[in-house]
Amino acid sequence: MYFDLSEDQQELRSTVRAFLEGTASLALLMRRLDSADGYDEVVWNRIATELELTGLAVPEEYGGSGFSLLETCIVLGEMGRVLYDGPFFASSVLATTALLASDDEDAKREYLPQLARGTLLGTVVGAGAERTGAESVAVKASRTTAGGWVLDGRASHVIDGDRAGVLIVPAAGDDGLDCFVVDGDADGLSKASLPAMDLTRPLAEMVFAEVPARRLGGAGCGEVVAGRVAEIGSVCLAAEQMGAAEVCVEMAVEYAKQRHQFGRPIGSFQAIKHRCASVHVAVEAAKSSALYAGWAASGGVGDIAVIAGTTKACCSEAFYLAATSAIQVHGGIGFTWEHPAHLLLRRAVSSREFFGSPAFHRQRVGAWIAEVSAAGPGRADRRLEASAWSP
Amino acid sequence: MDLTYPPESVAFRARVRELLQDNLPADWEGMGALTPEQADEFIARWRTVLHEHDLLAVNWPREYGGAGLTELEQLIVAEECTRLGVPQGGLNDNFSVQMLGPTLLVWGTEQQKRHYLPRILSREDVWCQGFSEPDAGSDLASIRTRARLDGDHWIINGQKTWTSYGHLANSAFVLCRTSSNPEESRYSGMSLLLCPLDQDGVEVRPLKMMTGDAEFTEVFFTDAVCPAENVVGGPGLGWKVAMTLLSFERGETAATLPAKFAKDVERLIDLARTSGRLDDPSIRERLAFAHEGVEQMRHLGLRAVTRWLAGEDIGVESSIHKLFWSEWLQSTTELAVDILGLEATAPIGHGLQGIAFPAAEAGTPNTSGTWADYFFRARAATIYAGSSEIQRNIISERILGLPKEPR
Repeated sequence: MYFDLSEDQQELRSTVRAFLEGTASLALLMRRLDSADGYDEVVWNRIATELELTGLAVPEEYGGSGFSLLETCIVLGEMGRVLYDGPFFASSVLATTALLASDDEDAKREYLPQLARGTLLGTVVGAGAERTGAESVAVKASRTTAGGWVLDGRASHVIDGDRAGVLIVPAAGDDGLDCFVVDGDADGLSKASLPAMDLTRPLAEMVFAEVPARRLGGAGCGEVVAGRVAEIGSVCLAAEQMGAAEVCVEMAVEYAKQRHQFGRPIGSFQAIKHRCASVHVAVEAAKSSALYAGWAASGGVGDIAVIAGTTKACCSEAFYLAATSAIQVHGGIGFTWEHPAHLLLRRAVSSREFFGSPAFHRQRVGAWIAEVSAAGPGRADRRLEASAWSP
Repeated sequence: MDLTYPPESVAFRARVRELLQDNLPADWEGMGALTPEQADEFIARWRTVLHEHDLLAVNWPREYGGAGLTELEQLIVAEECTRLGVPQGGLNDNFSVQMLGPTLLVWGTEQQKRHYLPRILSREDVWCQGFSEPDAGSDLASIRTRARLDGDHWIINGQKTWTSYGHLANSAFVLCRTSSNPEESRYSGMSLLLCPLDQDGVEVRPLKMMTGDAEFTEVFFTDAVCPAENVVGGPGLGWKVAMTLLSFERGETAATLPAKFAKDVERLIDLARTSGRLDDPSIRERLAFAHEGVEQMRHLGLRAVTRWLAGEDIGVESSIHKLFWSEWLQSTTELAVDILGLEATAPIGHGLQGIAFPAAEAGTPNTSGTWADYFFRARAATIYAGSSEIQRNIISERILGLPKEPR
């Protein structure tokens, strides 16, 4: 009975933390944002080739390191701490997950090794939207006379859409949701950067006008891919949210110790102190769930859709609470552009909405509860199975 | 990460489970399903069963009557008892087996251990706790019950309150002021005395709660006496000893409480269904939120158990658990009242049975009577065992390192 990271995993965490503190700290991020330079490609290359993080969860047969999702979650937690603005989430989490879920061997062999090496950047179009079914997706696929495929339609809020070299696109086919791979520079594809609230998470909107596409997997593959991306995206985003939430608490506490008013540190006043304590409790509780979810998703334990939903909801709320409280504790200075607090809040808000808000997940989990309950009184065993409680 | 139990413990768990089940009727639902009279009878019989099978004091050393096992076995026994909805001891055992016993193992003399520990198990001594006073709740160090040494006896004068099951006990461990030196800190000069209650100088009075129950009592000491050697750890060390006693947060409650709360959510879902409220989206959302809380408590529990089994002190982190579950319980019982609607204003049926502290027992009937009672009991959850305000002080000061305010 050991619910904690192994020594190797703790080592991974400290290594990544030290690296990011040296190359991608919040201070460096703020300088980069002010100069509008975009993410640091040198740092990205080091992440990919030196630390080999981009291929962490890619199986060895596809050129990756073959670690579990839990290791990726550890890395994301550390990236969350510095609000890392490189394309890791889109490429190493979303696009990688989509390909792995597709069962399309040819596509996996072609794209995964490049994503794993970090030389190709990918993303999933439509990832993070609440509704991912065929009726909600605004991209349609049609057959060409030559027997190929083209895509028409529009998509928005595509994470790292602008800089992605390859796009995974769930699109409405003849009968349900199919999935396609599109070149980032394909003909007929227009991309525009959206002015994003979260300055560390570039978003694009896209218009598809007869864009040539390669089908990924068989009919209905889009359903599988979109579902899996939603689950894993939620679990991974939760891990990232918790790293950032930790930093919010640390920052607020540090400030409360140093800032003096009325002749003493403001952290000695119960109003401040108690607020910090409440946030800490919420974050620790949500963190525990994020750890469990990362482990459960790695091993396929329990009903991942339900676990992902409850985890995403509580982690979104805990991070949001931590970010808003950090600003409050900092007083006026927390509201300035120069202070990193607003960046954390921006990330908290975008993360709250991507892959479903807390209310969305609670409605879904609530519906699932009702459905299970309809089978008769005391269906505790089904609910317990879903969360994988031990006997 | 490994959430399985060691292979050696699987056999132990199976034995415990079989043993417990063999001593229960085939249609056993849990203590919550019993009437008050049945509950009293059951607890008395059940305690004997546990004692006979060495399951009452699992990790006390064998030489003092315990089973001599480790935290892991203690956890397994707790989990199995929770699963079957049976208590791990009698009403007063929370204070004796769980708190005083382990405190004596740390602070007691050899003679005290050999004398008191077996008597706790045999129920020759039934204990209650004399800590809080009307003017000393959160600020325990401001107690005014005094004891002075007169020859070979302590003479105790004062008043204790919130003494659980004082009317069922024949002994109390009492925190007293035994010396006062203005040069010393307010945390020195106290002693933990072991005092027999069956004497003229002691009066026990029931305290009726807003729930209508009277499990708490006030205990009045008027020149009450106990032998001079009945001090734990030595005169003047009372505060340290008291802190040890209060720290015996069994690691396993972090594991068993979520399991009990999960059953509460189950009942609540059934309640919503039979009340026709399960189609209401806002009720569904709140049920999902309750489920989310149970999951977080379970995961926090896994963390605590990991540390406890590794022999680490989870003392300060227990404040996080307590704050979380007590607020969750209030939110969840509030949801129950909202699901019941008008029926909550005139509840039908009796309240919670058994110890039901802090969580309802397995087998609790799903009625407005039990939920209304639970709702009221939950109001105390953020007050007892360290109020939420105290817990936030502890968390902010001892975990986050924020400075104390000047006092």
